[in-house]
Amino acid sequence: MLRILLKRFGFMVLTLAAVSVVAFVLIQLPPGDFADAYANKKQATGGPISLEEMVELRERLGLNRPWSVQYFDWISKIVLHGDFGYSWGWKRPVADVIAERMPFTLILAFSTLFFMYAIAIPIGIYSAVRQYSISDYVVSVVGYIGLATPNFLLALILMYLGQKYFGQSVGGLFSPEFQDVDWSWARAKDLIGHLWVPIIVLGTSGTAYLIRTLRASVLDELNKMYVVAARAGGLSPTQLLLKYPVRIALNPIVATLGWRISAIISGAPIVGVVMSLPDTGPLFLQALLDQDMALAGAMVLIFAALTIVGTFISDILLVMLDPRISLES
Amino acid sequence: MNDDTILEVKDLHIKLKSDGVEFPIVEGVSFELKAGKVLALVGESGCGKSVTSASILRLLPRELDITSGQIQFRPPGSDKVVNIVDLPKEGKGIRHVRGNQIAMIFQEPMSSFSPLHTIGNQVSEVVRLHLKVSKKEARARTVKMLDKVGISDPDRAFDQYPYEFSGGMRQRAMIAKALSCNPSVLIADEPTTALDVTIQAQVLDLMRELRREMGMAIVFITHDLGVVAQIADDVAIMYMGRIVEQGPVREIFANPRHPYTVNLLRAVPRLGNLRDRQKLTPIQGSVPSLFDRPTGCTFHPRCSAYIKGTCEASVPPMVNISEHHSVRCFSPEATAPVATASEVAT
Ligand SMILES: Nc1ncnc2c1ncn2[C@@H]1O[C@H](COP(=O)(O)OP(=O)(O)OP(=O)(O)O)[C@@H](O)[C@H]1O
Ligand SMILES: [Mg+2]
Repeated sequence: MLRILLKRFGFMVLTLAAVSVVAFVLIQLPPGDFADAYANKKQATGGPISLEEMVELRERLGLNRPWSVQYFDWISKIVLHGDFGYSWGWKRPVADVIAERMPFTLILAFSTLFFMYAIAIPIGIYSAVRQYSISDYVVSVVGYIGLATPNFLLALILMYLGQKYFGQSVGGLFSPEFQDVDWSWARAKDLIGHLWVPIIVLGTSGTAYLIRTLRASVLDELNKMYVVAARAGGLSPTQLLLKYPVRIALNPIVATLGWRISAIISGAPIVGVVMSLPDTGPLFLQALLDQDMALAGAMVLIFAALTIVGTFISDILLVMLDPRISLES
Repeated sequence: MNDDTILEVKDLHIKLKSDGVEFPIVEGVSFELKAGKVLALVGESGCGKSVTSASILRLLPRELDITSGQIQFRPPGSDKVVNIVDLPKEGKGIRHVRGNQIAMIFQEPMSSFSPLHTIGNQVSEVVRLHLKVSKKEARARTVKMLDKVGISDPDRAFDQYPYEFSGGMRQRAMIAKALSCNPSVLIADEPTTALDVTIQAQVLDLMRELRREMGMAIVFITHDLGVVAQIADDVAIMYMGRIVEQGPVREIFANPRHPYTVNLLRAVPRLGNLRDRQKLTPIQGSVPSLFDRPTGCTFHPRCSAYIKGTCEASVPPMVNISEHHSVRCFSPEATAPVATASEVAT
């Protein structure tokens, strides 16, 4: 058990290292650099900058050093000092900019995850047990619609409906009066009141997918010989369902946990922009447009790390759930 | 129901419902099981042995339904007889019978255990459920039971997972589970078919020994007449959802009257016919499909004693040939011994 954990942990660190390189390269890939983007922006606002100024800017930011040097400079500061660099776009340390918005992203991601599982697991089991009943069909139809609707469209529809029928602006995460005040009970309540819309937007397709997976695997298990054997021992239908088919059907659900997290997080920027959420989504998009390399790189790295850690956690859960796995490695 | 009868199936009909059409699967099966005796249910694949046995515990899949008939059961130490067919589906009544008074073991030891739960957890499940004992006591009982069925180091085995067990070991664990509440009837649906020959013999020996010790009656399903000769007191031969011949094993083997039974016995390899260089005679043709069931006696298209105009016209009634021996045939074979039980058993 311990050996497996160590092995998986080793893989996780290696993957993180590889991802950091990829993240860095990806950020560098588009033509031009921060100086070009900065110059373009200045030009657009009517204040062109000279060539000398650009050379000086590049020199100051170290942009004309080789990529490999820039990479090691970047990553060693992060690993050794927790220093993510300086965001030239925001004129503040990257860590500060991210720290301001990351909590919202995390709150949103984990509450979406929580609601997805809380809704999908009982409904998935129910529609398997009631296969081909009216409620099973209703769940299936709603599920397919949920799977097929793009997030941004769902966001627009919900915002429109919210505006029209509740007279409430459902964009953002706070009502105007709570925008920039200190945390209080009322502000938290206001946040919860706003949170459900992005949760629905981000969670619908994942929930629909989870319901289908769970339904299929519970159905699969229900017909297994060992379920009949256990029924022959006198277990009631509920005892039986919870002890065997559900237990086994949870495996694939748990196994995709890490992947779910990444799906939510990568779906977040578009939704964040459409709904003008104060989370990291719009920040990320802006950083990419500005070629604000330190900020964009840090965010890609953090998102990737979340996914990888999520996968690691789901691996551990899986080993705990299924005794056969520890044998294989 | 006689006093020494513990289970009696009377005119049982089971149908398959598919897209609003009904297909008969079991048609008027009747048999009696006496306390402590072994009844073998024999027939080719698909003749309805498993369906019949599953219906006794009301374990039929949802496509299949008991449409008429009775399954009378006398619970141990009680004068009252329960008709299992009348018990509510998945209700307390049938659940109290399952695993407690009537237990069942299955053909596939490999898939009869959940891969994610320990052997001990699954074997002790029935004890915890029916005997209402503490966890510790359930464990003690289960370990004792595992020991009884010949699993070495039972205390360690309790905490092992099914993948750590061989097929034979799993079947032993299955038997331990089935017998741990001391049921008065054990239904064994081809318990040895999936095992290789030496293990088969061991498991069969074990079952015989346990029956002697614990005294439960057994419905033993098989298509192996050799096994029947070794373990059963009575035998019922099934063909396409009907019992065609029924009686004490010795009597049927010595004096088979239904052409199908005669054919089955001729198809069994024996020391005798190896010596005499007799050929094994396979049965002509194959079992017709569910969907074009022959009229009248369903065996008539394959039968050597077929009487035109009679056999396909109506279903022959079950006729008593002697006190315990009955046959369902319009032209039963003359008394011509094919084999003795001890010959087949070798
Ligand atoms: N769930 C089901 N759905 C549809 N048909 C079924 C189902 N279960 C059994 N049957 C049909 O019922 C008939 C009897 O099946 P059963 O399993 O009782 O045969 P069997 O005598 O036990 O055969 P075997 O020796 O292969 O185990 C078969 O024709 C089979 O196709
Ligand atoms: Mg069968």
